[in-house]
Amino acid sequence: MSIARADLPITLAGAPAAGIARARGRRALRRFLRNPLSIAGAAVVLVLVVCATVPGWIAPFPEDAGPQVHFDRTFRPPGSPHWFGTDEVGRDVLSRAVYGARISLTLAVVVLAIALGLGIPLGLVAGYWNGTYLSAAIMRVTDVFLSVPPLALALAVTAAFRPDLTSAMVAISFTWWPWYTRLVYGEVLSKREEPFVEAARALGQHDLVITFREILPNIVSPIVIKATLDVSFVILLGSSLAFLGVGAQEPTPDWGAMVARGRTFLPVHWWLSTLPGLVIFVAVMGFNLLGDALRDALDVWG
Amino acid sequence: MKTRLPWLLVLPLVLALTVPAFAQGKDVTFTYLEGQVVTTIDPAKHSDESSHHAVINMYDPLLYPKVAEGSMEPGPHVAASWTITDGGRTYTFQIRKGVKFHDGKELTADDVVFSFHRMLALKKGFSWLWAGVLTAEQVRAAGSHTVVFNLTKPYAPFLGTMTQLFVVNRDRVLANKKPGPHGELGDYGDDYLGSNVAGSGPYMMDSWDRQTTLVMKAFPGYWRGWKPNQVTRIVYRHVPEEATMRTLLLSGQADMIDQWRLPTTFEQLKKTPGIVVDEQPSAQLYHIQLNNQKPPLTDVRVRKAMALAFDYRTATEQIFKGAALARGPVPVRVYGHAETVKSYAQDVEQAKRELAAAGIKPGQLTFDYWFPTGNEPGRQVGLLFQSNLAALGIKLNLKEIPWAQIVQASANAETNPDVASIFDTLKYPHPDSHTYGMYHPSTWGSFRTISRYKNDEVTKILEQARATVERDPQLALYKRSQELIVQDYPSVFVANPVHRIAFRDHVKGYRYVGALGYDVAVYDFTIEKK
Amino acid sequence: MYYRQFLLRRAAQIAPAILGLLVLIFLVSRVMPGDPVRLALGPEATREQIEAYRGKLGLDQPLPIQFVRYLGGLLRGDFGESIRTYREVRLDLLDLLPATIELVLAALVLAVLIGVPLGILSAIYRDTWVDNLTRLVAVPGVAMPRFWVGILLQVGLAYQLGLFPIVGRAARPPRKLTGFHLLDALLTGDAGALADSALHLALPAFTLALPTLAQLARITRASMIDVFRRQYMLVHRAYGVRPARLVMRYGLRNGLTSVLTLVGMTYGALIENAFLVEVVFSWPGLSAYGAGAVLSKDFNAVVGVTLVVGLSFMLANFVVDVCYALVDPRVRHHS
Repeated sequence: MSIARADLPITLAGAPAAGIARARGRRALRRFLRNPLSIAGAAVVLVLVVCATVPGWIAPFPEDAGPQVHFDRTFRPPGSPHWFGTDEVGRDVLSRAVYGARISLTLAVVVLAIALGLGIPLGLVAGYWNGTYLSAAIMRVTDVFLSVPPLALALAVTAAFRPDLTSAMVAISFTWWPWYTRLVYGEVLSKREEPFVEAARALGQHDLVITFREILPNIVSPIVIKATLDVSFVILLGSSLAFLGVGAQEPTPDWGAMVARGRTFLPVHWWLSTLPGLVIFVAVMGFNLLGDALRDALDVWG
Repeated sequence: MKTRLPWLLVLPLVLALTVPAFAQGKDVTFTYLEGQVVTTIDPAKHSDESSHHAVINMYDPLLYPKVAEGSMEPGPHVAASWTITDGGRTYTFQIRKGVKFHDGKELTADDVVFSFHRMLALKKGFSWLWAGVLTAEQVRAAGSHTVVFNLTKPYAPFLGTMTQLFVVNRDRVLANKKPGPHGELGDYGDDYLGSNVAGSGPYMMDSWDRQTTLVMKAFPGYWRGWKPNQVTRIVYRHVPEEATMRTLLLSGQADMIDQWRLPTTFEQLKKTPGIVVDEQPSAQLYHIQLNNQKPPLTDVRVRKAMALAFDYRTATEQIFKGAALARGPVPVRVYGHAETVKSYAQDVEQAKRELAAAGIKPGQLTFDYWFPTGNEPGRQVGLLFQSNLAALGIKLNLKEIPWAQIVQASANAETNPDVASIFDTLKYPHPDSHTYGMYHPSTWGSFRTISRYKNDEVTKILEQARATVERDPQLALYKRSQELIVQDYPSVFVANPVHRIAFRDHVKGYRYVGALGYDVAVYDFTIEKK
Repeated sequence: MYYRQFLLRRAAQIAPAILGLLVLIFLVSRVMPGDPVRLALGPEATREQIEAYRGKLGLDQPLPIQFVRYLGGLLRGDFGESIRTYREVRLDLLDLLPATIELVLAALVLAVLIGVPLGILSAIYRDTWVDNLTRLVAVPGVAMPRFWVGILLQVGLAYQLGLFPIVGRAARPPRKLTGFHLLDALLTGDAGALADSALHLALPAFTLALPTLAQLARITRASMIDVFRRQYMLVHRAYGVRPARLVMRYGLRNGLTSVLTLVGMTYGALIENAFLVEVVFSWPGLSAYGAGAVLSKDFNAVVGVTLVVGLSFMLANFVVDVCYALVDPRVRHHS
């Protein structure tokens, strides 16, 4: 993480020495563990990740997440063995909800990967070379994307393609990267004038190298916190799109689509809409709490 | 200002709650909920249920099914009587006197002729009924109240098709014509009749909010006259959700809901006091159409494989809750149905063999299955079919498409869907509707002919059948055509669903005879409020 | 002096944003599969007719020229025809816009009327049950999917208890003057329609308002607490001035800036969450129309809705910035 000039005797001020870093880490962990909400958030996230990676171990009826119909057990209310009940073609709602975690988390990971992959470099460039036309151009484009409400833009983009999961991923990524550009831009601007950057420049390091090897490691914390919080919002946005019809297609289970589908059968078969919605809520809360906890633990004031 | 604001809000609310809503007046209102938007109110363009409802209430057709007698057979309406001469080639209709349009003008032969010419010129809606049978020159007025049709050849279902000729007010339409491709007739009133009504029917258009509600009010000068307790105001509302429709009916805010509800909904409604569920065997075909012109569906073995993979029993017993299994395209209850035609049956092993014979490997094929938005039986059949085809290694993608878009897409070969779930109700009382009307190449371009079927032998037989005047040879030919069609597997013929419709018990006079739309001619209802 | 400069500068910033949005939408539309010409002309069109129409629409021209023509059309207010309603999109939008605006405004009013007092009470009675209850509602308020909340309220309050209508905007609409039901009902003196429209508006507006309400309560609480701690407040309390007066005169004015910022920020969220609420409650507004347009590839409608939403969003940001600058002189000089 620090400057790879092993022949230099001094470590520059911006890169904490290994020992200090370890102490900070321990303190952060202790702060984290003290708050019950943080633990709750972490637990929820852990469960979701498990559901997403090995759904077959958790779901009681894994085949119901595929092209299966059981017309002999339609509309069973919640109870044993279908703890979330069954739907209009007899599929176990709980199993489908478990598999749905895979869809939502995949969506979040892909979107954030693209957003980070696009937004961070752009932000770094715009921030370091602030005052140039390139920087101004990047920030203007960022402004345009930020000035359109994400759901509307996402819908407009999906109009150009088929209303499925891939379109949703592309569309949401489209609207998400500007936030990181702006965040990184601000961070770079504030870190630019720090002594360790001056020193690196004095040592003759190339600007690009400085950006990526000096500044970037020092702004990792706010990015990580925002990314964690963003997972929750991407899940929310993704399920909203799925609710409107832009999401994973049958028979692949998608939380938002399940809620939308269940509306046909309200209010008698209430579990079809309300329980998947509850799952979305818990997932969003989980990542939200985790993000908040990270922020408190790392004690970073952007 | 801080304290006064709350009162400003509270006062009107208090007033509103204490003042009873006595703005009702003496209107007898009938509220009908439909799952599909009214796509058009132009009687030369209507083809589906919701547009049919609009047209049947605001216009009059030349002939009318004898609903009151419980029969589909066409009887006098705008035409008071007729004679058939020249071996079935000439029909002379006497137009009833005293029929008034909404603007007061009397309906004459000129209006009938104009309406027919208009349908042929615009080439939409039911104009295909007369393709090859009549051209504009062969229809003329012979006097103020006589219309003569000179057919090119005898045409068996002709009288039945006259139930689809709705009469428009010629003068009014021409007074509002815009520039267009029909010479001095301009756009033939295409634009005007898209948003206005120039009819003589029992109801006039009051307002139309295209996404939600069509409101119609009674036409006092209607030629059939009015009796007490008949409906004076129709609120035709588009409600896309099943649950909402059910609740509005139960709460009394709606008087009748459309027939496309889930069988489970009807089960619930049957047990509810105050609600009537009318159940009749229907003249309706439910099938999954396959685009015969799109490879690999051009190969009959592929189509046969798909048809043999389908689980017919689950569909009829569980999804439709007691429908009759379809036996070919013509609904079983319609006269002229061929008894020799059997229903398809599930045979997964045979299906695999057919697929292999066609050279298709598992995992090779993917199709898009289209079904109308909000059509839950169509969706459930889709899930079933998806599961059935997965056993063959064929992937089926379910696509919920708005009805208007399905109608649009089927008009063109390029946009025509591959696999589509369609309900097809008898359009006129004759087996011709579900044979010629679906399997003759001249009818391609509608939601009825998504299969785009072409078999030269069948085409010849159907044309011959239409030209045959004697009943028995005619029916024999129609039956032969059914036998041939079934062997080609153009669709997966699933069921003849039971026709069910739910309404409040104060609605009297409902009769279902099988023809599309005529059961919701609100003029026939009376409301008996206790 | 500075203020006018600020305004001009701010207005100038909008222009490229709008242009950018237009370019984006234009590119999206040209990427869309499906043949708009075929769709426009209908099934009867011959090849010659299609080629002619394509030429007339300028679809055979290079992209930049097409864009200029497209801009020209938009400036004339011509959005083209919707393939679902067979009507000019412009007319559809005019019909539907008031419904969405009424919903959003009602939600905004509810959020402020409930959220702000809740925040104030929370601040005054800090750490009591009032405060805890508010925080209990406020924290998850942001995480709850709007469509889910809407469904819960619908099932609970409308279906089960029958307190509110389940869906729709009105069972007896007032005569149409402005398109805003509440206003029209007041103007025509139609008390029945007023009650009817208000009842229909209640649940959707509340569902839409909930997360904003939660945020407002939190922010108001935080800024009130902050204000209370200030020196001059302590002095006033020492002199025996009643807390209520203090809140009214000092607390609110200073808290106003935060509220204003939040309102501006959440306007965008409100507009786009209106999409979801409109679907749940079958509210006949812009968003439902737009969502349907996307699913049926009704290109002209999609463009129309996106433009209207995007522009109003930008406009709202602009207005908020302006008000903010009015209230806080530091802003004018700083940017």
